[in-house]
Amino acid sequence: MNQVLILGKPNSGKSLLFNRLTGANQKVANFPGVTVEVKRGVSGSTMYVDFPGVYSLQALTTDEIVAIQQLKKAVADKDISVVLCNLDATRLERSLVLGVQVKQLADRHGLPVVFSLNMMDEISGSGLKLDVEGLSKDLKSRVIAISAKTKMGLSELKQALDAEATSGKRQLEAPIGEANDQVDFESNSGSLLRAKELAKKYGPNSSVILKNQNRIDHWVLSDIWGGAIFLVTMLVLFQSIFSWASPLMDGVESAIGNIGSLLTPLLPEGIASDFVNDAILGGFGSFLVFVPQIFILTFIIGLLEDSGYMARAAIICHKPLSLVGLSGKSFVSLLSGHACAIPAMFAARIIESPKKRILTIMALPLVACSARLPVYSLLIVALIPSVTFAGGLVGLQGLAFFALFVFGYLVAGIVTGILSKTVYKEESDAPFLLELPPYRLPAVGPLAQRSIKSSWAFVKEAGAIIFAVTIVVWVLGYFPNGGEDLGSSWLASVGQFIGPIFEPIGLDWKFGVAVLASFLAREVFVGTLGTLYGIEGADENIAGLASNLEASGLTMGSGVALLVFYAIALQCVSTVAVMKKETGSGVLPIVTFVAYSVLAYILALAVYQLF
Amino acid sequence: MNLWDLKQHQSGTMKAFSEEMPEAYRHRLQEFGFQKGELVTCLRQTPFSGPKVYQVGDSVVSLTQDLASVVAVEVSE
Repeated sequence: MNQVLILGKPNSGKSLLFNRLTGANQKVANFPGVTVEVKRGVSGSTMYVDFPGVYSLQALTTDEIVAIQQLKKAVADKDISVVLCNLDATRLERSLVLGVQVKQLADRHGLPVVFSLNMMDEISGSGLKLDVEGLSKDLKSRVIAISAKTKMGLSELKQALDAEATSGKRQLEAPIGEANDQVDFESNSGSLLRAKELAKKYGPNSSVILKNQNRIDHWVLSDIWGGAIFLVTMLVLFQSIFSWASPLMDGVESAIGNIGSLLTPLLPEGIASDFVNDAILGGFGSFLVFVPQIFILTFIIGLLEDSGYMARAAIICHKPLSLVGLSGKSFVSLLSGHACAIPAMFAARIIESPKKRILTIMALPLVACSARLPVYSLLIVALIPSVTFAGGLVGLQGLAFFALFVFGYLVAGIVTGILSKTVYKEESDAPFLLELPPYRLPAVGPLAQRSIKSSWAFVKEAGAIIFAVTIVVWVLGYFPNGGEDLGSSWLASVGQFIGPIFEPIGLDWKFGVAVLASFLAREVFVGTLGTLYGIEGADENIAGLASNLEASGLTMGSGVALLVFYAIALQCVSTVAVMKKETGSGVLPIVTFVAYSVLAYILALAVYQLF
Repeated sequence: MNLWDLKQHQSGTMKAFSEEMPEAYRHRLQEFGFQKGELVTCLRQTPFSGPKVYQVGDSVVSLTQDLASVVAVEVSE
């Protein structure tokens, strides 16, 4: 099988090209450096290996050091048959800095290089010209004009790659002298001069393209409008999780209800029917209802990344974030933390400063992630009336949601602010440097596929834990009396044992059990409560968990205390594990886990006392 | 005069990096187009001494004061 190594600078549309070539839904983002791991995809008899984007062979950040080491190793790998170096036609000189370095490195290993000249639709759309043939002759390589977005030139590119891979046959020993008689482009100055010369000779007049970008930035980064646009964007993001997702959530809820009413008559009365209704549909089903919210959140974050707005948001946030010891780049990581803290911790590798990177990682468990969504939604729906203003655009429940997200940031800011001036005062810092990518209309199809894929991954990963915990909880709650009386079940005994911990917050033992079970993963809370209320009233509407909570007499004080607890506690085994990996410290995750749990409990207690 | 001194919409010709500039950053800025003799324009200032946005060649880059103030420029006007 031919192996094609895909390289290119960040934001050159490389990941979308990889998707187009392989059909895989890999994470594509218009923020420098989002791809942090090597992706593989097979199409026909070719395997494509997609490398993280780098500006040159000289590293600056943690992820670049790793990427460049791996890249050099891969070029020397005898299984690779051709290098595909992706260039951004609208930023030709910048792309060619890496391009000429890669060409020279590949020449040394006798490896053919094909250049894809991406974003050519934008060049022709702006009435600009680019001499593809001239560039190809000068680079002594095939250069194919393409647009990964419109799929223009992709079949020609595949043909060129095939031709190089099969006919060219990699020369394992490069002829001595051929590669060495040129300037050493791997050093910066050589490649910079060469890139400039090539771009000047064959490239378009980039100022035309930059004019449009600068016109939008004039508003997006302006003192007053910039802040307003940012706030409105964030408000829309959080409102939409509620309003856009609700028809989908209603759909899932009624589907689960329908499955229940179809299945129940088919099952023998007693334990089997109770198990399906209480544990599977009531417990696991109540978690599934929230998946549409996770999809919408991932989709909107993707829109912000792919459109180029994320980099602007990072600039707007840089100053306020630096007051609490973080960087503008932390914002990118924190915002993706709303989907999941784990990829967000990987995304923190783009932060140059070791101090700010650690602090960002410490802040991430406090960001309202997908797993908190089900818990928040459930409690908000149970506690806050569904009132809307401004013709249905703004809802009270949406605002409560927004307030919880802000609360997470507030606590995170206080924590990192204190740590940066105490524990991490002496840790080494580094300046802020960020390229502003062009504004681009996101390719909605691949983005939707990517969001579906990551929601599905979440369901699979979280679902396995929830499913297991749900079954354990159901068994403990159903026996020894066959679901007749939850109050005298094995689970009730466990609940009564831990009861004294939750009594001061006004929560009964059922909530205590749900909180305890959710220390593995916070979304377990919903499944556990669903199962418990299922056992208690098997004939009730299993999906209407919120109304069960309302009927259980959950007070506003206890409800808000629970929300505060969930906003802070680090209830996620995977996050703790990744934190250990990313910080290289075994102590830090444990300390963070204990500290956030204690803080969560104390604040929940304080809130309950206030009400 | 240094890059940070450039006002919004003001341009200057890039002269040199000061000794204080860490090498890895010098390389990266050069890759972004900050090279001797290039015309650099300050596109935007942000409030409270936040990062400034500069255009050089086909790059638009945002820099904070600690980096921009160690890049010498010359304003011809």
